Amino acid sequence: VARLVFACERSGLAGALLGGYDGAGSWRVFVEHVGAKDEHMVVQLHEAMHHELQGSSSWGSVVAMAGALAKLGIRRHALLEVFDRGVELSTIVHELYATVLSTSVARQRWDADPLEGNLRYLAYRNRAEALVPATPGVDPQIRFAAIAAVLRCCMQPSTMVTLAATLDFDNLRAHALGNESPDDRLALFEAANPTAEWQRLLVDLTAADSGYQQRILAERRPTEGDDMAALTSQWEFETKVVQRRCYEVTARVLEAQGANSIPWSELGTTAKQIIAAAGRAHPHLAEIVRLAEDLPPEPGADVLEFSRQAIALRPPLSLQVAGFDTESSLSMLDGFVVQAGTEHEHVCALWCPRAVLTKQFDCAPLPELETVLFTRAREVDDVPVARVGVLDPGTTPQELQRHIHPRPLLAMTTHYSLTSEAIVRALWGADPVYVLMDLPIGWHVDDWVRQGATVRYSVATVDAEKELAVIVLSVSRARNFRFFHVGGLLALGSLFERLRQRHESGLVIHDDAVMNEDVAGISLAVSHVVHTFHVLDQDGVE
Amino acid sequence: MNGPATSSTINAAITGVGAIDSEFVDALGTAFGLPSTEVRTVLRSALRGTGTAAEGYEIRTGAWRLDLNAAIAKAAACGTVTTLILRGLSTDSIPATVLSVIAPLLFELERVEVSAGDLVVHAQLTEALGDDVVHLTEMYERLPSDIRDELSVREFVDTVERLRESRLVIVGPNGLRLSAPGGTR
Repeated sequence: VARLVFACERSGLAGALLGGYDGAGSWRVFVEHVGAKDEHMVVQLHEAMHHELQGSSSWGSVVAMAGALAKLGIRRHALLEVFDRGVELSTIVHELYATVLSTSVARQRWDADPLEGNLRYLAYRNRAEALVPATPGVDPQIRFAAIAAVLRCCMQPSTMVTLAATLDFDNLRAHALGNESPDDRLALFEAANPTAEWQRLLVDLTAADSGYQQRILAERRPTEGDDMAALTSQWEFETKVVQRRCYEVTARVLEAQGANSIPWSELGTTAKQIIAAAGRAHPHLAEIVRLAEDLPPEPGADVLEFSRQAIALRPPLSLQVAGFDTESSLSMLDGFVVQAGTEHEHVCALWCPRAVLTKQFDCAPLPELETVLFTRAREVDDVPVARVGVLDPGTTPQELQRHIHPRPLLAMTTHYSLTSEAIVRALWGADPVYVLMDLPIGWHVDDWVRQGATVRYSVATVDAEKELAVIVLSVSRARNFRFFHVGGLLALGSLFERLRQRHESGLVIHDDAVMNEDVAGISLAVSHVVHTFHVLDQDGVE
Repeated sequence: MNGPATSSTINAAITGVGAIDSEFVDALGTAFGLPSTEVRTVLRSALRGTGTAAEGYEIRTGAWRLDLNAAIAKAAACGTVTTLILRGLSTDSIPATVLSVIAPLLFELERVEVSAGDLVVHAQLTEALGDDVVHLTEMYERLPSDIRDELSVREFVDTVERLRESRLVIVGPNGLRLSAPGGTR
């Protein structure tokens, strides 16, 4: 389980941990604790904003890369100290950024304030909003972009220019991060309190650039409720005009306080140097922590990287093993019949390596395995458990169907499991096979399209309250496989945007028939996952 | 939030009541003349040295309290204090987690008192610490491999030597006294 260094919590009597970011590239949303739909959206955005700030700033990316390398076992103690120190000295900037940006978007959409009663985060938001005062006649969006620019500038101390130029993760030490920390820079900025200068700048930006903003909005044609498109267009205006000018004002204010920043024009050079150092340290480091070479990132770049989001459904259920081979497992078959006596009566089997089960469940050491009978059950004391019955290696769905006749079989696997040749061989001729996508979806769709396959997809709501949806994909070259993924609406929205950009190729098609042709089967597969699994992500068995 | 540090605060943590809180961190910061951020970073490392997977966000600015197994609380509290002492003696070249793992091998912390910004540490060099370098080398060989990866024999021996030379660790009722230079935040 990832160590979470930035949390999103509800404080007060109904306190709970809602989400957390690990500081190095992935985050979790704890849906069990998330109360309302609004809260869910805020938590998703909050964690994504931590990641965006970390990955798009020189301070954040060096710190995240140190953390990622330590996780890979490279100079574990020394680099974790760099990571700890970097997180510690930027905590306030991070929380202000994630809180104000996630709830400013939310406020436009909802009547109620999702932070109501949450004193800790209200304090963060109030402090962030005090950075740039509200000015009559100025679009709040411009003001929030200005607030973002101040906080981003705090993450870009000029000491990072020297560090980036000579960056070597083989020798990097915690003290190399220097004494000008983001949180100290924030305090200096607050002490200067340049209210009048801000008001002039914001009025100026509103007058000079409102036409530009309108054009950009018109080009993007955001549709109502289309949060990702709205976010993207917002990003364009913010980064091209507002961010630059506000960054420059912030840098001047800090300079007068004796703290220098990386000049706006040199952000790209510093980023390239950090990326180069990452490449020297580990072949995959630059992918684990993606830093845009051009800062600010190009519009449309997947800066929020929702593919890194994990949905934690519940603490892992205990895994109860009913049998360790086909004979003993089938002797317990009655314990695996789902919805007995109804039209949906079936038996579910899961083709997966042991690592998938150990990630999802709390279990004693398991033998090597390829296939299990699978269901959710209850212990005598009514505690829910996951129950499996191990089947002999090489069991095919067709063979299993003969054994359980007349009950129908629901054959399920995961995308990661299909990296096992034995499992692919066992499932080859079966139809349908439900494949839970637990590897990066966007990357795979691109790869299928590159190979000339056509991808059709459809989407449906799974849990409106918790904003969970399912996307189902059908790939022309493997029609027996029904690929599906359950995720947060915002994360899936980001994925749809990516798929839509692919539409022009004619190879990626939105087609509700994918869902409608097999609603019953897809629903059962989704139900098994959502009611039993611990976490839904695109990280395989990590 | 930075109230006057009291000896009871630190003694409580050292004797292992099963919790570490922001008051403990602030008291150490005042005593060592370090910002609380520095102490928190060392505490995270010391917790890691105990093998505790405490989530990072649980240690933060403002008031907080980390409920831990009593033995782990004591190990982490001692690890933090001894690491800060070793940090003061040696250079920044040894990671805090490594220091927190080797510190208990080098000296035992018996009591820590803080009053009026003064820190008094009652500690004693461990008996296991022989006089000869060969003995130290053997001791080094027994360290976990991940610790040895980031601490050379030379650094280990140097640290022990500095500890002896500094006379900062004194056996006796007066213990070691550090005056806080002030200017903390």
